[in-house]
Amino acid sequence: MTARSEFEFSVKLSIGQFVPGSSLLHMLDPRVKIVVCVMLIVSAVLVGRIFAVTLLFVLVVSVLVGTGVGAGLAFRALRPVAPFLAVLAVIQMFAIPQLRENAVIVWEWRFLHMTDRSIVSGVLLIGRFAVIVMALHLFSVTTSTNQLIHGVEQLVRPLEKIGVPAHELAMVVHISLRFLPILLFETEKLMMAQASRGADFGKGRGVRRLRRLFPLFVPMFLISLRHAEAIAESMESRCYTGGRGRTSRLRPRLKRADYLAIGAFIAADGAILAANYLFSEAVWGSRALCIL
Amino acid sequence: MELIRIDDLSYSYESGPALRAGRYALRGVDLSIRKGQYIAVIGANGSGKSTLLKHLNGLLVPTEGEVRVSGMSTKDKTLLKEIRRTVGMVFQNPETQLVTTLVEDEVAFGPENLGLEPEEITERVEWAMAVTGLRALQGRPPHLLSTGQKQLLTVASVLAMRPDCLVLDEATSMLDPASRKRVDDTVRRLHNDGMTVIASTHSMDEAAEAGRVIVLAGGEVAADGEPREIFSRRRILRELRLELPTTVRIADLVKNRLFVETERLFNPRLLASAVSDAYRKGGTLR
Amino acid sequence: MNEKVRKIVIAGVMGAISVFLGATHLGFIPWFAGAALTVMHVPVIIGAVLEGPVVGAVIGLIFGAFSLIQGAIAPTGPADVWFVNPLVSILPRLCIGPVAWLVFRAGKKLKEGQLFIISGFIGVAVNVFIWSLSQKLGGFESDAVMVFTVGVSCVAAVTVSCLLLFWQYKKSSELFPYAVSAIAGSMTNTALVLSSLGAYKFIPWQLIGTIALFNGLPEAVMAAILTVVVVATWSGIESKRKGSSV
Ligand SMILES: Nc1ncnc2c1ncn2[C@@H]1O[C@H](COP(=O)(O)OP(=O)(O)OP(=O)(O)O)[C@@H](O)[C@H]1O
Ligand SMILES: [Mg+2]
Repeated sequence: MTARSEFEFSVKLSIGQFVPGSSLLHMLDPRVKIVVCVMLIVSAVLVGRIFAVTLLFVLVVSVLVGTGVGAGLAFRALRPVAPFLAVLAVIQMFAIPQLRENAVIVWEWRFLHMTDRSIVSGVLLIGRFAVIVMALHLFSVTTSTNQLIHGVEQLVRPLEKIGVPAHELAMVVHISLRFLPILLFETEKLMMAQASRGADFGKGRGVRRLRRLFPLFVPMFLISLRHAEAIAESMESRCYTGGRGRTSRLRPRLKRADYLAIGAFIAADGAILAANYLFSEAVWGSRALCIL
Repeated sequence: MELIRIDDLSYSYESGPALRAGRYALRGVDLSIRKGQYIAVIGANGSGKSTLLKHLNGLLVPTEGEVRVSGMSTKDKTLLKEIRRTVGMVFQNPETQLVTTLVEDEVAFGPENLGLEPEEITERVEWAMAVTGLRALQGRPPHLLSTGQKQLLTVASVLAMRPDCLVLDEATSMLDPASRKRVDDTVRRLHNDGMTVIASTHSMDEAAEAGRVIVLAGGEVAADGEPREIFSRRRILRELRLELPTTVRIADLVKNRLFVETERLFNPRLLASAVSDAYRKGGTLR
Repeated sequence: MNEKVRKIVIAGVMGAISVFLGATHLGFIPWFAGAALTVMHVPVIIGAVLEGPVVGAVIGLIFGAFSLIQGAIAPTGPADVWFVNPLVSILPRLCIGPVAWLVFRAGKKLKEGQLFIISGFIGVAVNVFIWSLSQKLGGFESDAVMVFTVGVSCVAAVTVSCLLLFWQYKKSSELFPYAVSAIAGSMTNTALVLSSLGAYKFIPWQLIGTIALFNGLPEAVMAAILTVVVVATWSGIESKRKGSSV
């Protein structure tokens, strides 16, 4: 493994996967997209029924298709995750002993058991993760880092009344993103300096690898702390004292399309969540349907 | 008119018992800085330049003594915003002075902190970008600019607060000659329009261009005066291990051909006129 | 300097280090049997002991959010994908900083001897917690597993004590609280992440004790050493060993 390619990876990750474009999703206010994304993730974690997770999946895909981003882009997001998901689902379906209790055995071979519960849990796992991956993707391809930060800040601003330091949190994220390239540069310098003295960071394992990495980690932390001091001084010199009394260059306004989009989404998502909880065993009456 | 007044300023980074042991980064500094001056602060590493400059906008507060900016003491916390609006600071490493992910946002950072109206902020951003010649970089992320452009951007982001005084702590020392010239020219232009400039530097050539030079040594003011005066005190400079401006060193080499004291030739303009005088008087300058 | 500004910046910078260690895989140290140790939680601990519990929680949030996003966008193995669930990735990490800070504060108030005794039991406590949890939720399939897990707890305690003895011997008692809080923070991470993985049935409970031993303990020791060296150098405390020979 070469240090180069690792670093390029990190830069890519830090800048995000933003693809400039003119789809409806690109046009929407970042706040709307953040709400949609967070609600999708939370719903995916909450739902416990196969039909609900399927509906959530359909919802994400229809958002992506309906707004002109395209389903192709969305499914591409699943590709790197798919093989791992498959492995996990297989483990979940066959090899988790707890899922054998109180369950109907569907199929059995030596130590492998497939029960109704294990099938449900395997399908749920795939569905849940697919929804979350696509929700994150939907958000990140259509929103630049800058919009993200402004969006988060405005979104949590009302919470400042109850003491949540919204602006300060957004600022922390901001500084993190800003600091990544600096860290990259400083670490490259450190690695180069140490490599010229014969260090090789890619090799070895366990304690030996640690011995090699410590002379990198310690200065990395110390340099970062020193830089942090400099950044703080520069911010203070420009009258920064936190969010209070601060104004913004931009005055973002929610448009009608934003209200419509968020309204439609909340209605759909709410319906799915409600269905998930409402249709209990009592309503459906049969165990097989209840599992769905 | 006096802009900054420093009275008997002493400062130590230590506190508690260590402070009583008495390691001071600054000791008994008295200075008065008038509006519109161009001041160079020189001194060896660790002589206290940065420590002094950080007192000018209240980043550091005196251990003893007092610093007043337009009559406002830096010890009064309620005045800090006003003091920092008056005295803008540019540091050495542009990398750690850029906190946003978009050039316009960076310039707007200061005015936003001042709580100005959006229209006013936009106007100031436009102005600061125009003054520093950064219009073309609009919409770019700062971390992808060159080091020179980054430092110009930090200057712009300080200017957007419309300060009366610009403090530069070795602001050009990480730049290549061309970028350095761009920053220097920008600062010089601002100075000609009335900006007070206080710049610390390790470059004697830069100091020679200033209107006033303050020499620090071991946290004390070792000399303070016009460049002509400072660079004629060779013994002190040698003791403090500071070198002479390039022009003076060149003049030394052709000393016996020139008809003025070489110490007076501390900047290129003076050297050039002395050489052409000598050429006229002596026929040739072999 | 304005304390609030400093806190914001340190949280941001430490968060960036955690993300950086993860994204470049520099923060993963290949261990035995395909497992890897991580130091991604060390910035959380350092932030917490330097700037307090809120800063620690915020850095933990960044650390957690990053593992979530990495699991969703660029996973490098099945284990990464588990972390797409915020209850696995984010919630446990939020607790690292506050726990580290609490232990640090308590540690600073105590006398050396007391500290030594109490900290010796931290390893026992955490491991007994994991053990009883796995007992309750999963049930042991054989006595051998149980004996093994109890062994884990003992080894944990002994290791922690040895480490502390080492610092005691070196007479740099100001560094005690840092070491102890780093161990506590690191173990919080191990215990909570593993419990949530167990609760979601991603890993059988029977395996969790073993993982806690083979990954959790070396991670805690690593975190302690790194935290102490960094904080000692940063706050100018002279450690007799000069810290760098590790
Ligand atoms: N944060 C700090 N903590 C403790 N001591 C410090 C700190 N910063 C500077 N000092 C000490 O104060 C003294 C003056 O340092 P200062 O940085 O002001 O010097 P300088 O003239 O700016 O040097 P340089 O040319 O290297 O920039 C030095 O002895 C230095 O070791
Ligand atoms: Mg300096």
